[in-house]
Amino acid sequence: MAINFSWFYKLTKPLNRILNKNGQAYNLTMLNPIKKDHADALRTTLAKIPVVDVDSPLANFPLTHFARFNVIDSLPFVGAPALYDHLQNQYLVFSCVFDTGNTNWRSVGSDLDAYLKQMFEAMPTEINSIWGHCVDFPEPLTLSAFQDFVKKYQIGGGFFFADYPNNTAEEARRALFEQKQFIDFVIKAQEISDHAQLKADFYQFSKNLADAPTPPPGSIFTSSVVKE
Amino acid sequence: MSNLAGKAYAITVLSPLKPWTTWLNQVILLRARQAAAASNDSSLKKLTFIHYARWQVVRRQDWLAEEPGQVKYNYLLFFSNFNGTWDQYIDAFSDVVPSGLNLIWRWSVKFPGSVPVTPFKQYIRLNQFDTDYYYNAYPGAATTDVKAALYLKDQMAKFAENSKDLEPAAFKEAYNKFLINVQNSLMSTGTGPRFTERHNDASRELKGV
Repeated sequence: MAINFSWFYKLTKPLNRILNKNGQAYNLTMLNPIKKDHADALRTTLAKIPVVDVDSPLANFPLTHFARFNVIDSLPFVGAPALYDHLQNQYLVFSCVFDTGNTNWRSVGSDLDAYLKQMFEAMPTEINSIWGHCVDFPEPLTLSAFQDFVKKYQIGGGFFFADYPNNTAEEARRALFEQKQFIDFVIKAQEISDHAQLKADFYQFSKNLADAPTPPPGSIFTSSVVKE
Repeated sequence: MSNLAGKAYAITVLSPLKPWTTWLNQVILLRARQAAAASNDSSLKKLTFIHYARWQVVRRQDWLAEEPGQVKYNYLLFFSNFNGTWDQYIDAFSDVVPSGLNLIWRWSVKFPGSVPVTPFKQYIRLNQFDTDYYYNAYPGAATTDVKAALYLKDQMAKFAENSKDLEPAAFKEAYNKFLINVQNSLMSTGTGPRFTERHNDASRELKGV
């Protein structure tokens, strides 16, 4: 007789929601059943998203660190005497790490809503073209219907590890941009023998750097604020 | 599509869990989280090539379109966003955190243990799903680059503030000391190993351009 653990899962549901967050970072995982015979079209849709990150629709808003889509056709079979699990449907897994800007575990619900709002505004076409292949996708699409759809298929709980949990993607990109600029400055400054000139150049560089905009999400920084 | 985006690799693994041990697995994952939160020097942080990772349980009833009883196992879903090659990653996992991995994965059906590494790799390979689309917000940087850049930014602001009233000669001395302090944070970032041109071509073909 199978043991029923549903009481355990009900009991741990609020905890599982909290576990989506580590520091200010939130990990959203969704497992959506794909409509019958839509998996190939969904794969083609995903393959048409620009592969260069800066051109991705996810780069249209600054909150996402990483995101992935996997189409699951069947479950793995690890060999006898294990049982073979056969799925009747194909599934879409979406997992992303995004910024909430706060470390308050009580705000996990509103954090997700805020992210989905930005996503909804930044990439409505892609939301339709990707999740439109999934069961239950709301049509016509509204923000609240999209938020409810995501929450219905969200998986929580477990152990979410983050190496820099308190830094936003924007902060990471800014720091990486400044790192590249400073390296350029250090190389150039090796030619300066006059100490007063070095000091003046450093503070001019700091000013130029402060005025320089952070490159967009998904970009690889090539421009320099250091004058030749 | 590819498991690579810039310098990051996306690994996705689904391994079957015995339903009657799943609750124990969840308790262990919770303890692992508490242990990692309590330490700034956890084994996973020491690896310094994982941006974000997650282990979570997919219960039989989470496959929402399946009939009850269709899925017999719960599944341990593992995601990671890391730098380097797949082999380097699994080798490092097996070398550095074998006991932690065994504790988390031992409840998976037919898990061979994380040491020796060859059956462990075979098990991961068997249960891994390729990525259909992968996005990275800072593709030119590895985990170490991000942490170093954040440290450098902080130190640079302090140096600029503390040195503004120094005489030129004292400034030069302070500047040199500052460079010695941050020298390990001055690494180059840039394009990753991905064959961007090839992917662009493939993408253009799909679009019919």
